[in-house]
Amino acid sequence: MVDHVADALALVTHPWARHPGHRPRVGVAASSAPAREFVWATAMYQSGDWESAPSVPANLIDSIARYTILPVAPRGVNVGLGMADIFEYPFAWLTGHLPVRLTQQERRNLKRYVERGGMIVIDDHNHDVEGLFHKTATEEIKQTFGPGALQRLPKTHDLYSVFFKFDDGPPTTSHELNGWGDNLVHRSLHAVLHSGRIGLLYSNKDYSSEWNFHPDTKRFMAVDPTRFGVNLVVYALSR
Amino acid sequence: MPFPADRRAGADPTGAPDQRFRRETAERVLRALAATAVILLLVLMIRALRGGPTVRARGHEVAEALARWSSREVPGAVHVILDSAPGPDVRDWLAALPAAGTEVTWDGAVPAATGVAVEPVVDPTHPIRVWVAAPRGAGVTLRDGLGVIDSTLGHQGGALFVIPQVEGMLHARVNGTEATAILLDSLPVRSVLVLGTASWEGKFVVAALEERGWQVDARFALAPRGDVRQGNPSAQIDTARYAAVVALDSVAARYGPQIRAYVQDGGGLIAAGDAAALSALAPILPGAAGTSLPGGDFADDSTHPRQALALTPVKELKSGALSLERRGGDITIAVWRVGAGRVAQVGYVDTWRWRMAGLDEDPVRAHRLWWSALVSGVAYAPRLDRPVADLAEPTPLASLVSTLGTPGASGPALAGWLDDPRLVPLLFGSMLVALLAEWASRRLRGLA
Repeated sequence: MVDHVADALALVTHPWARHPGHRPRVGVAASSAPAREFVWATAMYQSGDWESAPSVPANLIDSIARYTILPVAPRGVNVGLGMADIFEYPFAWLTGHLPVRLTQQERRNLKRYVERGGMIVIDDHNHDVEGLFHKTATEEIKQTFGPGALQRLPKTHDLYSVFFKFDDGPPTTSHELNGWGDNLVHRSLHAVLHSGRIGLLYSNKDYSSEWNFHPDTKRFMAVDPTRFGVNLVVYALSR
Repeated sequence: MPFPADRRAGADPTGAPDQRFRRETAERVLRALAATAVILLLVLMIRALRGGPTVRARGHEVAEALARWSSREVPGAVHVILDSAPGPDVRDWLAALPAAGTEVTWDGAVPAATGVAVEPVVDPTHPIRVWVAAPRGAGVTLRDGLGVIDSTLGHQGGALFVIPQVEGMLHARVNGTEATAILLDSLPVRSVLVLGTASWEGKFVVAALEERGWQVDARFALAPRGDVRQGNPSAQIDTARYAAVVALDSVAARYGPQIRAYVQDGGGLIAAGDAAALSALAPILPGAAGTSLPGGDFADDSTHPRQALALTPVKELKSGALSLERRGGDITIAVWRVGAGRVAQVGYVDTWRWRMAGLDEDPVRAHRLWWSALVSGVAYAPRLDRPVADLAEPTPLASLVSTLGTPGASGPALAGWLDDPRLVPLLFGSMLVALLAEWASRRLRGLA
């Protein structure tokens, strides 16, 4: 009986396909996944290079399927931050190297997205506090949510223990350890909280580079670096 | 000067037969008048000996007259003409008068058949639901010890209010009749347990309930080796811990026997999504799960945002089950009672889309209130008595009829003027004047 219901739900037309007029300006991987599957959504924005880490979705989808029993769509989707469809994906990943200048609509959607309970992760693909992405992205966050909204996340936060345990807070990336970017190891992440939950997570640690490897590479790694990505998804789904 | 012997013989002293006839007629009238006064005085005396006069009083006079009727003026009967239902103190005082020998009847404009019921709602904000029975179109005003709370017009037999709190006695006024009620019990609100796979539905159901103030424990299946837990979910599902269980998918099957026993004991269950199709829960669900229907787009001006949600309609409604909501011909929510508990089967799927993507005015709030109301509808809460000092009157007309009887005739027709306190001296004076005049007339005619 359960299978019957699940099968029937598979007939649900995917929101992306139901909004032909809302397609983003760039080609997208429209998904036909049922609504109850977790879909990795990459947020597109008008400025910058939102597509700078194209292998991240595949690696994270693989990790979610490997470590959890969550139903997960085999392909991620790219969805415009300024589009209504963004609200069909309560978890979104946003990254880039280039300056981020949000449109009014993108800013409105971002605020509403967080207020309604969505979680967006913004990762600085530059790993550089002097970099243009960091400066402009944090300015946009400040402008959207107000000064002081972006707070340092303590190492004891649920995010670091919801599935895998990270006793020292956010795991360091090889780019930090190799001295690239700003030559710093960033000890913590920052977040905009809404009703006690993370609505926007901001990272300087360049997980985009860390997770943007060819999926075959993972088998040669001693420790899977995407485990923290699983925590992000599990936190978004359960908190 | 006529001779006395002539008067004794009935001779006419004036010598005019017509005049004599008129005087004799007048004397007869005077005698009749005196006799009537005597008869009436006798009637009054008998009435007084039997227990006092009948007293009529209008509604507003009754309260102040009661003390008089119970002490220095004990009437034989009281007829009260009411323009509204008296308060419980006046009504009960009237009801007590027959025990002291005073018959009580009443009539007048029958007060509105109103009633008020008040009860707490199982909700973390502790609202109070007030039903007021009122004729269609009648003005209904609700107030408590702090003042007017709300007012509306009677619709389909009454009015329903949900108020955040009430201070002291609650008064519902309908067409001049006031019904009063007092909150007699309170409900301790217990936690809600949410069961399911880690999913957007689980996340947003928990968020909605927590934002409303519910204490939520959650168990989300996540990995073969364990669940994600939120709050402090107990291994035991019972009414001592949980007000309701929300089952969102097949994970609830693990707890099937516990949930069934919990509902039999009075617990509340909401089965939504795949949980409504579980064989482990089927015996306690109000219906079966039908074939799922796809969702649609949210409309800009939609006043029914749930129209856009996917649906697994409730089919084959069991005897005693009730459909709470429909979409077209499909049942979307069905409820029924199982043992001491209540169960709701929700056909909507992925209600989180309403909160995230809904285009109605405030979908977050609407989704939150909707889920909270669903839980309130089935939640278990033991009722605890509250200490109550005031005397409430929730159904004034029913109480009036119950204690004083149905409105009766307006008492003896004579009662109105027979019980006039000026009547006795008037009758006595009339009798004396009539007798004196008759005697004087006879003496002047020379008769004894």
